Amino acid sequence: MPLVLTRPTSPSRAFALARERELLPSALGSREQREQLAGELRSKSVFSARVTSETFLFAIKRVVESIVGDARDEGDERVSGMSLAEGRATLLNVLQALGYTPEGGFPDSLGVVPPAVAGSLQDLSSRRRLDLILNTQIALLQGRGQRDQGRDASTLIFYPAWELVRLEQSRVPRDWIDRFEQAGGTVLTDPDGFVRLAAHKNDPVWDALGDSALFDDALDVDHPPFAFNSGMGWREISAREYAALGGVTVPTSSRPAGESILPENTATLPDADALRRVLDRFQARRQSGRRVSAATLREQNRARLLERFDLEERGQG
Amino acid sequence: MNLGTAFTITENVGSFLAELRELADSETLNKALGIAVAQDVRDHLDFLNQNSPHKTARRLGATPTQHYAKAARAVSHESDATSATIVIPANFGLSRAFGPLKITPQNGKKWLTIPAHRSSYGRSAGEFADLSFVQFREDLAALFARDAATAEPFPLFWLKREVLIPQDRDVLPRDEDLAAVAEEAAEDWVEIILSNAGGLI
Repeated sequence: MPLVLTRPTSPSRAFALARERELLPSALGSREQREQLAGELRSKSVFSARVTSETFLFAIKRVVESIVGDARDEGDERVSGMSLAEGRATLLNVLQALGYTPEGGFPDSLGVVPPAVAGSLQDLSSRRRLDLILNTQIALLQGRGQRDQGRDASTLIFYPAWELVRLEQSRVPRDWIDRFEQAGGTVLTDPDGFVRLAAHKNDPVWDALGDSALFDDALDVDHPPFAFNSGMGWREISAREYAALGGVTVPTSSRPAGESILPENTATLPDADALRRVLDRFQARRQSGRRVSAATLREQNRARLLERFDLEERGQG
Repeated sequence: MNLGTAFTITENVGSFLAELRELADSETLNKALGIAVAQDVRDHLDFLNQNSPHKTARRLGATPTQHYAKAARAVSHESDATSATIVIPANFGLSRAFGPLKITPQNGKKWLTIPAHRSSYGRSAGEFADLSFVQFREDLAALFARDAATAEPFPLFWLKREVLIPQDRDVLPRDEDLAAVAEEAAEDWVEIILSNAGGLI
């Protein structure tokens, strides 16, 4: 199946969300910000603990847009497509230009923010802090974009659940199974005996998982990354997979017989008999062995890749 | 505005999908395909993150930057009545799945920086102070730092005018894998449409 390499026709949802954000300078620490600023305001703002400089926040906004958006303005000015390292270097330059020091903060707000130990998380110019700012904001925007895309009415029917998974490895991983249960989630087990942290997209577990009243490091969001430096993300779970896990798939409610879930603007509803015939032919090909399942192909490819990596590690690749 | 790398599932996708497109509403079908294929791409990148040898990091003795995991987080999809497109920001370099990738300096810069030491892996030259520039030839230079203990200079970054990264189809799932995922997503879509939940019967 040749795929057509192309350019997307619109920016990613994460990029659109990044562009919408307003600057919110604040001398408050991260805990106070979570306690005193409404979640809605935080989700639409660029802020960071004890950052009082609008100029620095604007730089953060532009860098984050650049990393998540991968876009260029007219004249090919590179407003995006930065790497994390380039983003850090840009922010360091801005801090230097503004005269920031860990001990004194920004010159125009001396004494407003407590002094920071150089190199610590409180030092805005430390690599740890810049990484935390950028990684958290980028993951929040991508998580919110994924949540927004995954929750429309038809998607909820075909892909009704999220699964919490680790995307980035962590030196000291937190116990997310325990958190999932504390948040009211039901830990599922798949047919192969693996624990799966999956729940319906509308399940309150997602809200609770990111609630700082329950977890001190939580970001008060109902989507990944849920907590600072969590490394966690979501997988989309299809109705078929969710049912196999024992989850509740589609509410059996209320739709009158004959009312399709297809959008109202659909010109003509498909012919059910014709659809059934096409489906039967497809499934017959699988039963006859002329079609290999996606899972089998994936396993074959992974086995091949592991062989390749093994050869490369031994210097033969 | 110029946007990132993407591939579109639109042509030669197998007879099953072609027949379906003749019969059924394509908007929700394409959305279902987009979700499934985007998830397959994320799963593939997650597999690479956990299993690939991270050759450069290993050679330099550095900690991997989890590049593939960050790429997985950035994968999204878009769809309409005619196609589903998987979108991956270009800064992850995954377009090399489809051909060699030529990288040149941007924003008026003259050189690309390539890490030459474990302390520069995953970092930008702008994050370091007091580097010395040494040019070896027209298209090759280096930025040197000094060892904190001995004051001996050592190359922190190699500088090049351009880099050509060879094609590597394995950074994304194979065509046949994506086709199978798309077909099974379409199969699920039809079964739901033909069920009580879909409301067509």
